[in-house]
Amino acid sequence: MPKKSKGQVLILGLILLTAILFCLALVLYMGKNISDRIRLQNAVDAATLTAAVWQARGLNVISDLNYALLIAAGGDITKLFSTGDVDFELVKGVQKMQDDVSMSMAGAAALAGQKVFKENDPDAQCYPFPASIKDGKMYSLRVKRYMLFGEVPLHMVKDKPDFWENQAETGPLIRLVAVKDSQPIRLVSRLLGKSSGRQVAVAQALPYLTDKNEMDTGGGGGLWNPVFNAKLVPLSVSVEAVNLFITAQ
Amino acid sequence: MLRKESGQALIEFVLVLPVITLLWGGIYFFGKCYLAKQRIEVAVRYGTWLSRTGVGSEQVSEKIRGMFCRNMPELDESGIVEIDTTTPDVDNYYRATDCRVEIRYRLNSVGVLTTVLPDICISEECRMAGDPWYYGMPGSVSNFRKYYGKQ
Repeated sequence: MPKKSKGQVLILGLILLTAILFCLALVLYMGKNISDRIRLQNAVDAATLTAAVWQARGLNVISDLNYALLIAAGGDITKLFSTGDVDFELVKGVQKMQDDVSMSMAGAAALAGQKVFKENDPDAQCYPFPASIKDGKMYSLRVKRYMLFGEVPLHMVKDKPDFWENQAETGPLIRLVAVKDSQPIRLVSRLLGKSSGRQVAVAQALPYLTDKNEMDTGGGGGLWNPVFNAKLVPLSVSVEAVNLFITAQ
Repeated sequence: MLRKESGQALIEFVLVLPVITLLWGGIYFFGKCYLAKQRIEVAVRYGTWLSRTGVGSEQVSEKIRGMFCRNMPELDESGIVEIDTTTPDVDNYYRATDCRVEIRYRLNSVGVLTTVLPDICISEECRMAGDPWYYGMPGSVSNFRKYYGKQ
């Protein structure tokens, strides 16, 4: 036997061992990557849905207070006819409650969404992603007070008349993007020849009117029906848009 | 001399064989671990979604177990240690109406690996907001005052 064939088995074994170790690394990398991605998507879905649920709660409360406003106006008018006193304190009280709800529920939606996101995935970050909403007030409930003759404040209505037709542009719609940078995944992905180990997930949800009744048509904006719910809406965004947004953050 | 050397190669291969087997088993086992983790992440989301739409906690457990039997044949349903659907009593107004599902799953290590690796416990949790109507909230004025502390 010639001398040079001595280390052949060793070389073969080393190649085999390297291949098997590479397979192990690949299994761990893929497993962790996919599992992290599922968790990130769960977290961002839960966060958007939670924010939209809090918006729907605010809209429900405001809708019910519209009915309360009607009753309070009846009480005030009775008082006006019986005593001649025109301070409208019942109506003003209900209107103050409505203003408080419409202002505070936007912040409640943002806070609840972030809290749920952090609880589902503590290692990731979550940003609002208002891609197509023009003025950027994403968490706002989009309600305003209906002014009779331009000066008498009445009940709360929707912000825009074509509100439900084009909710992605004008209405209450939550759209979030979640980013996770993982150090070990980044290491392995460098070894495997990819550039980064960053994971990105997007989701959007909106409060919507579950059904209509006859009072919903009246009043110049339609916020009389107190049955709002929240739902997730499928969303497809190009990777370039998301990367541009994240680098701008 | 020739016979001696070829036998040496065989012996070397026999020496290397357990290491390779162990590594191969490790690939199988860790792959299965991550597969189980992914399946359970999907299952907790399903359970939380059911809980959000008003399904009771016993039915949520039943449906998750049924999902394991039906859709995940590679996972043993008896590995589920516990399905926890209780929401912890949080002192926070924004989280008091959340739905929460936690699954604890015990994955048995297989074959030779039982001597090396212990059983692995996988625990996954998901939570999201519940009922969009406000009777679920602790929504009376006194509770609101309690959570905000002022006014």
